[in-house]
Amino acid sequence: MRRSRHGACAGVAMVMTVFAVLCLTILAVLSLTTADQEWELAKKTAASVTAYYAADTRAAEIYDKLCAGGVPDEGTTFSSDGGGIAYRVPIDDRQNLEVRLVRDGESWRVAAWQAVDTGDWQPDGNLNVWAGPDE
Amino acid sequence: MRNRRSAIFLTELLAAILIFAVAAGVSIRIFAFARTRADDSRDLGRAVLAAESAAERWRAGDDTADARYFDRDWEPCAESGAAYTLTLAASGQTAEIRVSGGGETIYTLSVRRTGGGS
Repeated sequence: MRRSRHGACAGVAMVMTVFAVLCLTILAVLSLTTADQEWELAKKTAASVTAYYAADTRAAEIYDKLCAGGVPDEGTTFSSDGGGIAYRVPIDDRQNLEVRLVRDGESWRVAAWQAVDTGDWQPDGNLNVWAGPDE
Repeated sequence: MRNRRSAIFLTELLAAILIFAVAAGVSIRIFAFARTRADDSRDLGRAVLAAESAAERWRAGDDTADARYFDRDWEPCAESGAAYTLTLAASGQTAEIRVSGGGETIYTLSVRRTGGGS
């Protein structure tokens, strides 16, 4: 860079511009990435809530049918023991809505109505903690 | 000689301003898009929460309101100042909850409440 008689350096303006453009680009890309991730998370949350209520609606239909004296539909996993009956409705490929009913006179009473995780997971039983100084 | 140096400096300055203007224009568009995306995410998240809340109230037997209104910050408000509207259309034991804002539907949720037993 040559210094002019006025003290201005040839090239300084370009270097500062490149630096400013670089900063602007990095900030823009970071903000876009963050916004995209937030959007994906919001969509997944909405899809999961929709799936839960779809399963819940299906479970409520089955419950109403049972209370009206109907028989369980095919395609739903049922089990019965003693005075109770249980069935599960899939929410997604990792969760089921499990419902357990017990006899209450002529009708059924809900004993359990809960989402249960069915996905495989491998719990890590080892925890490598410091066991103290070696003797 | 002095005029030539000044001309080079001026040319460089003009080129720098041009490059910066183009980069700033592109960046502003990206920032604006990111802002819109973030607003959409917030709206969808709040719409899901509002719909869930309305669904659970309705399932618990609360039939008092068919519509609820929210301002720009998703605080409950009167209809006149509403930016977002939640409507609940019940038909027998099923209901359709729709959350809309700005003339567009943000989220819909179908729910059913049990009729018999306890």
